[in-house]
Amino acid sequence: MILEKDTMTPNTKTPALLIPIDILAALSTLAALLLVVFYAPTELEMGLVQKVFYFHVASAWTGMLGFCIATLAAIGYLRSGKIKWDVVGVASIEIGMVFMLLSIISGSIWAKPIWNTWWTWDPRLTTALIVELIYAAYFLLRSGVDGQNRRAKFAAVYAIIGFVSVPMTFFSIRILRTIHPVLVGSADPSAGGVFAMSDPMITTFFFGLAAFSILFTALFWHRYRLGTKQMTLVEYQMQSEGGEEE
Amino acid sequence: MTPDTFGYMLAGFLVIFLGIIGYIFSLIRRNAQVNTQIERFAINKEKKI
Repeated sequence: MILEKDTMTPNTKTPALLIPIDILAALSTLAALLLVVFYAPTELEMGLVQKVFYFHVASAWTGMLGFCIATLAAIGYLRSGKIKWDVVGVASIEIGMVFMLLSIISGSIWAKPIWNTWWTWDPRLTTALIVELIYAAYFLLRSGVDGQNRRAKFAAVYAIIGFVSVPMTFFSIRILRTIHPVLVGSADPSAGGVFAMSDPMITTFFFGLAAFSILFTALFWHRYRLGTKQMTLVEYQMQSEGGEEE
Repeated sequence: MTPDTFGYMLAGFLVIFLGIIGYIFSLIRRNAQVNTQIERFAINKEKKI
C-alpha cells in the first residue's frame, strides 16, 4: 500500500485526483462563505447571527455523514475482516467528531442572543452531546484493546451500536418537545429562532451542504492515507522488534 | 428592529473556520511525523539488506 516493493522506500506521492479535490474543496468552501456573507439576506428578527446557521447545519451534516460512513465501514470490516475498513472507520469518526463539535459550539454561540443562554438541556443539544461523547469513547476503547484485529473487531461492533445515537439526534426535535428550530417538518410552537427561508437562503444553505461534503471528501482521503501510513509504521516497528502483532 | 448580533456571527464563523484550519494543520503535522518515521525505518532496513 505505501511501500514500493522493489526499492523498499515509502511511496508518499499524493494521488493525482486528490489535488483537484483539495482545490475544489477550498474554492467551494470559500464560495459558500461569500454566499453566506454577501448573497443570503439578513434575517429580520435575529439579525446577522442567523448566518451562523448555514455553517452550523453544514457542520452537523458533515459530522453525521462521517458517522454513517464509519458504520458502513464497521459492517464492511465484520463481513470481510479487511483492516482497510478499520482505517476508514477511524478516519470518518475522527472527522465526524471534529465537525459535530464545531456544530455544537457554533450552535451555542447562535443560542446566546436568541435563547439568552449558551446552553440548555434541550433534547437536540443533549443528544448531540451524547453522540460526541459516544464517539469519544470509541477512541478510548481502541486505545484500551491490544492486537490489531481484536481492536478493529471491538471498534466495529462499538461503531455499529454507537450509531443508534445519530438518528436519535436527528429525530429528537421532531418527536420531543424542543426549543430547537426544525428545518424540515413541523416545529414545536415553543421553539425559539424559527424562521422562514427565502429562495436565496435555500440556495446558500444547499450550496453550504455541498461545499462541506466536498471538504469532507478531501479531509477523509487525507486522513485515510495517514491511517494507512500509520499501519505501515506499526508493521515496521513490529518487524524491528522481531515480533508480530496479532 | 433587527438586533445587532454581528459579534456573535463573527464568533460563530471564527469557531467553524479556525476549527477546520486547526484540524487540517493537525493532519499535516501528523503526516509529516509519520513520513519521517517511515523513511527512517526504510533507510535502516535497506542498510541491513
